[in-house]
Amino acid sequence: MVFSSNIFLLYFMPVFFLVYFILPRKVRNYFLLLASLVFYAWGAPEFIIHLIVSVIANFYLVRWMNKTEKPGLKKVLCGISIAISIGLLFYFKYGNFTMQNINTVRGWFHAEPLQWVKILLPIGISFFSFQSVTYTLDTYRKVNEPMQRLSDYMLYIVMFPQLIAGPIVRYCDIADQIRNRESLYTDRLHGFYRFVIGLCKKILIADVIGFQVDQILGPSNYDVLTSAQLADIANKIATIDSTSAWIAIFAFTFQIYFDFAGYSDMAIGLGRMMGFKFPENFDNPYVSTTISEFWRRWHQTFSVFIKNYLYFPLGGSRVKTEARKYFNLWFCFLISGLWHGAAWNFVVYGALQGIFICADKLFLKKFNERLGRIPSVFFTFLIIVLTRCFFRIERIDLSWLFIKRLFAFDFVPFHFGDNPHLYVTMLVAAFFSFFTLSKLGLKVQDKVYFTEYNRRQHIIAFVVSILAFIFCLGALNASGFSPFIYFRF
Amino acid sequence: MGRIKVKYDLLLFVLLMVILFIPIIQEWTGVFPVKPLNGVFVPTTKPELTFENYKTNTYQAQIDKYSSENFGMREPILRLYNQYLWDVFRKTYVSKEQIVFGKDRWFYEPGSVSDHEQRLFRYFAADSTQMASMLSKEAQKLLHLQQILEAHGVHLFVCLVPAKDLIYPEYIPENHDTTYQGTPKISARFYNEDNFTRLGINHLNLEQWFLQIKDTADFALFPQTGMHWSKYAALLSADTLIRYMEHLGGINMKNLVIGPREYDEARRPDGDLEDLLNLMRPVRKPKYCYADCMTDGDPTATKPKIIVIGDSFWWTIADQLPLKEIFSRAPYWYYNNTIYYDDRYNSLDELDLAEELLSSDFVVLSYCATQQYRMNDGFTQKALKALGVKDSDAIMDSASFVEREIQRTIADILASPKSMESIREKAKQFNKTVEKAVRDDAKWIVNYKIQNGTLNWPKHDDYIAMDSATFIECEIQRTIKSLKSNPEAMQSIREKATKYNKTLDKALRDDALWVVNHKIQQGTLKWPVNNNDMNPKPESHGIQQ
Repeated sequence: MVFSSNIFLLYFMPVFFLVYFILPRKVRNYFLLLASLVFYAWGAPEFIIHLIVSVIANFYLVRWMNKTEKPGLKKVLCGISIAISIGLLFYFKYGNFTMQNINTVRGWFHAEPLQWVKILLPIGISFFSFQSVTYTLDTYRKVNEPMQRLSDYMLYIVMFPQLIAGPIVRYCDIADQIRNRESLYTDRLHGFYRFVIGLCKKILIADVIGFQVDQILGPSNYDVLTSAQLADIANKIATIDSTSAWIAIFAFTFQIYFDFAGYSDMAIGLGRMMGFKFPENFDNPYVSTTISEFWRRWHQTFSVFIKNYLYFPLGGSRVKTEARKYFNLWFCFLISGLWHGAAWNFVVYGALQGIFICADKLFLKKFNERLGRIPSVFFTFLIIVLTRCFFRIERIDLSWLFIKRLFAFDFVPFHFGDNPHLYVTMLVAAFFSFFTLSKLGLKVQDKVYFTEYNRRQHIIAFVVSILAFIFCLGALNASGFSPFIYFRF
Repeated sequence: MGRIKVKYDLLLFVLLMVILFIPIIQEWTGVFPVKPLNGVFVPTTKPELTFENYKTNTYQAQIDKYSSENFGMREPILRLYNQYLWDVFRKTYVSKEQIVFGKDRWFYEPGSVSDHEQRLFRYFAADSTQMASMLSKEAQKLLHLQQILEAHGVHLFVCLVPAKDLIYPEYIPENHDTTYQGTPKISARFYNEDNFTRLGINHLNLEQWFLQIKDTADFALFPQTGMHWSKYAALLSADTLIRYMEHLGGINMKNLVIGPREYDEARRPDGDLEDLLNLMRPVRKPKYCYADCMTDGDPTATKPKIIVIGDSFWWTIADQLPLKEIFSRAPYWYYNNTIYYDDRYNSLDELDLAEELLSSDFVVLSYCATQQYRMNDGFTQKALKALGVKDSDAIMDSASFVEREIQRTIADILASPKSMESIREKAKQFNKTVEKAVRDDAKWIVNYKIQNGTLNWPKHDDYIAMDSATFIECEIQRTIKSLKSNPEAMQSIREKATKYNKTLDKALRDDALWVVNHKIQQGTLKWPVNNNDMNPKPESHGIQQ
């Protein structure tokens, strides 16, 4: 189930919250767990057993690990626990990719390809695998005591607001909230407002732009396409004019931000309605003056995870040589690129980000400082836009071809009237992306997101949220309703 | 203060929960009255929950689609969003296959625009040649059907209903679809009009009439945001249609009495395309002309039995006319599929087609230009079959048959050295090319055969359902009717009857015989497609006398 679906918005969410708030506090967690399992089982029925089994196994392994006094065994159990989480992630997410590459290499030596049944990717596996890892490592590092109840641990892993697309909530951040949290009425209202903001980002901006991007560049997931469809996409990219190419890649840059940030807002909002305080995931990433800053603002919980559970174990910046430090940085981004998807284009994307991060440390940051704030924001944004080519187009040759088309300079006249819905939505997206460059923008953001409302503000926010919610329902369903006149028949 | 705030937040939260539950309450109870959405779509059936379709995610996908079509308060929610899209972006999710947005907020049905650009045929035929051939064949069958029915006193005619693009081309958007650049192009409306005129198929061209009155009419012929003719224009068209029937059948029917005009906002189906947008408020608010319709109640008038086979334009007539006063029966065979306005049948499968046709006085084929590619939805074929023509595809019109005979004769001449020698001499003598001389000779031979009644019309059983004698009798009857409706001719016939001491009927028939005979002699009689001896011959006809 996804948040931006009728089933969730019209049935699951109202019924869930009604029952949740009617129930005594003691049993709310059980109900939340049950609802979360239903939520997951709805979208991925074939994987729910995998999920439950791996969660149970991990719970008892970590408990054992925590109890044992033997350091060696502790390490082994920690390793097994992590291996289960990462192993499942690797199997489901990278199994196909690995086999594809093995067969490609075998092909070079004229060997028969290995037979392989294509594995379906369970939704949310990247997120709950990482949360399992944080639980294991935080317990191993004695940051927190392990959960006493299996149900609590399972709730931490499968809690529906953040199960599918984050934010990645570290165990240490939420351990206390699972048993002790308070859901004030004001939190419930604020949570709903936040949820609606996310819903608007997703449905009114990201989906509108995404639909148009798909029109220009074709669908994004090449795995499900036929060779004829792929050929059609290749042809589209090869013949695209520079105007359309730039529009498409700018549009995608906004789409991915509003889609992902919207989902995070919804998750944070839903969590807040129940009294959870999930960490923020996006902090106006497109106003960054450097690539390093961008990654501190973009998908923050992921960056924190990579930093704490990969970069630091690699030695971080406290290593003997500068080269090793830069390698650590670059390697972390390479891995994070691969985390985004099992394809070489994501590896290139990650590698490029790593290179720019290293360049930042070496000279780019200084260069940007000399440029001044506003120019450096747009320069950084341009780098992000260009690297997004490798993110959106899932074949490196086509990504490269697309970049060539961007710089082919065969521009055609731009007509706003051709697609006003897209252009207006892009302008709105651009406005909100760069809004916080101004002090006023920051002030407004702070007021909307992080300040308690007085009575008048609550009324305004309430009315606006309800209207926006209705509007989103309209947008969600209008596109699918195209009746025929079929007179009187 | 804090406690008041908490109470206040509690109130808002309760209100929020109530609002979130409104769609569910509405879906279950329908307690709030909502204006239903316009248009027709294929509804998603509620899926059955089984382990198999749950496991494969089929159930989830279907239930999501089902809920999107059935959730409570869907109607006002969709209207609100559609209104936003329309007001801000002039955009709608109604597909391009449903509406073409023209200039100055005029709407067109896309088929109509495609036909205007003469490229609609692509959906029915591979190319324009094939389309022309199909239309031509249909016209030949129609002619044949007309002749068969005529022989039984049933008048078949085609009503060429106007389509918006022909009457108001000025609002069609430029370059609305430039994907088709192929040539040659073809439009059924012009092709059929030519064919029907050439073959003598009865037809009433309302498109021409609409074009004539377009600049002077003080009412809308088509609503700006609608696809069908306006209700008032349909009413006037009905009046014309009745007059045409009177003329064709030589009968007197009740006259329509159209009441005083009333100007009002669009009433259905005026603005039917706009209805599809499902907006909260109208795109335009023009006043359209409406009037009540009655008949003059003439007790002497004939109430013919008619059958209308046609597209949705007929609804606008049928809904406004006092059908039972004008016709003793007027069933409407919608797209030759479902039957309306008939107490006896609902479906064509239930009735005896031949009996139904032969017991009628008029059979009306009422299709607008864009629907003429549908070839009367197979009606002609079915009707011919019901009336005894086994292979209607073998039918050809007399001109085609004669041309085939000419070609055969040319082949015979070319194969005969003796004939060719003679023709070469003639060509030299009359300063013609040999080819021209051969064709002229072949034409002369075929004409001679026709005039002497020695042309061997094909004998295949399926080829034709009427023999030439029956056809000639039909022509005689048709001519009698025509003479009867001409007062001057009737006066002359009366004088002849007195002069030659004949009854008026005998004089009338003799005159009709003379006219038909003269046509045959002149080669201007539109011959039937074929003859065979399946049908009973009349005892005698004028030509043999």
